[in-house]
Amino acid sequence: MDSFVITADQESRYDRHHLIDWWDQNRLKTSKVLVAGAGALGNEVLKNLALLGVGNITVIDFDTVSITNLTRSVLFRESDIGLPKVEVARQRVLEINPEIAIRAIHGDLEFDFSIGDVREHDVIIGCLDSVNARWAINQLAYRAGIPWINGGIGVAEGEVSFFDPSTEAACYECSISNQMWERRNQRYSCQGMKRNIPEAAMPTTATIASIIGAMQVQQALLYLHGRAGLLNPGEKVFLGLNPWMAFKVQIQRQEACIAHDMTIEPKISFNYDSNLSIQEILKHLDDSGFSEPILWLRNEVIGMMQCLNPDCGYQEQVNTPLRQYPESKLVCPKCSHERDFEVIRNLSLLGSGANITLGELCLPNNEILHCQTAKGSIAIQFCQT
Amino acid sequence: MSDSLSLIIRSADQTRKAAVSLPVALTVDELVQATQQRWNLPENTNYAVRLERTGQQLDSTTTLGAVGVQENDVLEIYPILEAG
Repeated sequence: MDSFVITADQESRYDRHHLIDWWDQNRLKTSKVLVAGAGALGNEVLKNLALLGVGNITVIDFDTVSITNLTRSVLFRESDIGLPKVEVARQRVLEINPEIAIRAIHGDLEFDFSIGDVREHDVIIGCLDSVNARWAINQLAYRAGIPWINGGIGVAEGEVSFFDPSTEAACYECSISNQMWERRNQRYSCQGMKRNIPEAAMPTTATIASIIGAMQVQQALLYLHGRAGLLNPGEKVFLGLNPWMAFKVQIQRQEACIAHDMTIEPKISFNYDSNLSIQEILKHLDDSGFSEPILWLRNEVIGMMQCLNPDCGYQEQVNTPLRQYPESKLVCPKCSHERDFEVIRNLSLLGSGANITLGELCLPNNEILHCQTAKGSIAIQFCQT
Repeated sequence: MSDSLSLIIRSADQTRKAAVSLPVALTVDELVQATQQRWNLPENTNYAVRLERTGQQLDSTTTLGAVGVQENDVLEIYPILEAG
């Protein structure tokens, strides 16, 4: 005679997910998702990722919580004003789901996050608020070979688009019009330095942020499960709530768009040592058969600045990314005269800047750089332990 | 082939609509700028154009003729949303 025991099933957090036939909770648990931006969309995206049980999240944002964020940011409270958004978001996400891991980076994704860091993720969700930041994450994504999901919101309209470097579809940069480039370029001087133009406050609401954030996460969810259904690479969905409208567009791939050819598989690794000179690295490459190496920086760096006033001649070693250096600091701090400066774009054994050290190049952790050699282009990763 | 195309241009929210005759040599960027001015659309917003027949977002630097716009096509102008 058969015998069996019936016990009351213990309910678990993900029971409702397990009822979905295609769902793979373990896949989500092991997934690594990078969230770029912790504003209105970032809050919604992080909340949803935590509820879904996405196991490994990285969030990057340079901003702090302000009172104006409180109308759209579900993770922020009045007591958080002045604190880094990413740190507050990290704590609240862990309150929602303590079973997941979240890394908070209080920094600028353009300068403080490396290609190597991006490559550690499965997908990027862009919750950004400018064409420039989207252009920057597109470059990071294509260099790292990681797909990304863009979101944008207005008052009652929103858009979600999907870009995948492993396909021949259009990327975000393909969709940047001349008008968008012109507006983006106004934020930089003709020499490429940052202009101190305050960001224009854009009208948005919690309702559209929650819908678009949810759609971004749904796209990520489908991608992580290897399922299609919402957006194919190079597609954008546009949604309006007042009046109702929804349509998809296929962004056209621009063959001349340089972002597509950027994907780099690291070939050689160096342990990051801030005192290691570029000269030593290039020499090592030359000796290893990669002759005539030219190392290209991802972000141009200002090296020496020199006052143009012959009576002053003040010199300053700046070592700061060009696009991060304020135009207002171009004048000489000693005599207020204009200064000239050297921009380091690439480094070769015969060039003047080869004595510079890794520390002086402002490379973020685990950066991967292109290196042109007589054998062709290779990628070098600078690993930090 | 004619040097101009008869088209319908409308805003995505369908609050603006116009029947126009445009030169095939006009770029999508030029069309956007002209439409922005004519309809007094906000200058601090970027716009894109969707060809309703194909669902394509038209390349801004290309002419209407080169992107495959045909007689009596409907072009929809819609904002690029930047806030996040």
